[in-house]
Amino acid sequence: MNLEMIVFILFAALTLVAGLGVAISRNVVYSVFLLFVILFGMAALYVLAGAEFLAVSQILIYVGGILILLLFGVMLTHKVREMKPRSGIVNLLPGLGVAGGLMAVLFYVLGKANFPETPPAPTQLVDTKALGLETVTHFLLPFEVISILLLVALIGAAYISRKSESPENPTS
Amino acid sequence: MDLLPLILRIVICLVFIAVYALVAVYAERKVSAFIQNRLGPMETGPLGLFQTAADILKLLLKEGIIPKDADKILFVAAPIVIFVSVFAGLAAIPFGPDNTGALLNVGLLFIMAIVSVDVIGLLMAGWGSNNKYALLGALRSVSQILSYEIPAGITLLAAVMMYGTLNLHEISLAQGTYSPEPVLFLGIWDVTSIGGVVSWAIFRYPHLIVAYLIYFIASLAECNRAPFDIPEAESELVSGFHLEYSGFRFAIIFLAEYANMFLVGLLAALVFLGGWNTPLPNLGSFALADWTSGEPGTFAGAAWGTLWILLKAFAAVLAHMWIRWTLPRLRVDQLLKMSWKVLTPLAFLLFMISGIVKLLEVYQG
Repeated sequence: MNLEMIVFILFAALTLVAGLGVAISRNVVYSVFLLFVILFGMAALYVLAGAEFLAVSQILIYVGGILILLLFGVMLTHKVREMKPRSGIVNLLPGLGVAGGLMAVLFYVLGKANFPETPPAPTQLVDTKALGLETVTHFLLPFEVISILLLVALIGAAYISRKSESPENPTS
Repeated sequence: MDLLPLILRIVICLVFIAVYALVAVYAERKVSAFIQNRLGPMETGPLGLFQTAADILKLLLKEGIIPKDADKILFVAAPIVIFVSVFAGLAAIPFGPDNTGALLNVGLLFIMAIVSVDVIGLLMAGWGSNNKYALLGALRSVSQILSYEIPAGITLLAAVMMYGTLNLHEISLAQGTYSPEPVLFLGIWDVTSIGGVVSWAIFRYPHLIVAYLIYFIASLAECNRAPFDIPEAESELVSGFHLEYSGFRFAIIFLAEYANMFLVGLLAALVFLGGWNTPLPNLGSFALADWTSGEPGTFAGAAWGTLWILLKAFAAVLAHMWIRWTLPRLRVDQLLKMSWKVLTPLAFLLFMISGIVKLLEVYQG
């Protein structure tokens, strides 16, 4: 067992435990902070797989953007002093059913997947330059489509959150 | 894997940051005193030199109070997250031609990502304290950091475009006499053998001077330093997100704040101000650049590199202090206007100029 293996097991265990925590914890704020631990653990696993860029983008986008948005949502929507933000237990049986079904499908797929016995060691780290070139050459169309989708979402959000100034609808 | 040099580097960095914070706090008090025509600390030691050491000693001996209604886990974890994230940023900083730190291909992005982890720590502290002032301070601080990350990130990208790499070691190599590729001043004059300031990014590509200024302003906001200290605003919020912290935990947060200033200073020096390269150019027979930078692989190379980059970072920290004690605090609407109507559009403009310059270079060469 070499150092890399130990680090992998540590981070995989950390990610799994944090994932369990997110699902079990009834304190919404704890769930969000545990989500941070998951994202961090995943980033570490990406680094071990030789995907530096993916790892750093994961932290940059998910932790720096999405997670903080979630935290803001939780912290601003609940009345801080009066009530503790807690989630109740709803849809226990259907939830268990969906989770169990998903797990069965994943196990089935993983069992059928053809993994090489000894995975090639990540000697060559993924080149950021190559990644960028691929994005703007081979995958240009998906890239542009996604950027337009995001722009549409942005405009939509700005439109919805804008105070209406038209005389027909003075209430909103 | 060689663990010993790694551990040695970590220990050196940790001790250095602690000592630096002591000196920086002392310097801050002296600078503020000078600007306000006072004397500053004078009692402890000659010229008050031991004042901050005594202060820290007092802080460490104080009781670490955890408020009764605080969220204990988050309250205790927050200072650790804040300090560890800032400290981890140092891992990717090259201090010389050999002492390259973690040779990450995405070093620059890594440091930008680290800042967002710091933000999570601030929110933990604000929420965990269970105090209105602390929570408000944390929310203000985080929204400010996030919105100023946009101009800071775009200006860094504008500079990175000129290098074509995110590797901080390659970025600093490209700004001195050891550059593997010819260094062109304004795209025409080969200054590879001259080195010094003329090979720094901001002089080779003059539009990056504006980029550097934008980055500097944004980094002030990211460190919550005046004039962007709305999150700490003593007159309204008592002292912001770390209001409930005392003793050792407060010391850690304080340390992280000063370390953060140092980190953004280092990053700006690396990307815009020539990294660990000497500012003195070779002038004919006065080979100032060669005299003040050792060959890579020798002790002199490491020593000169460390000296130059530390001097550049300290200059940035001093400028932070100078501005803090000169300018009044911005109002929140001025803060928003500054970010969205001035810095962000300018940053995008520079981004476009960088693209055009790069295209011209490609078509010429």
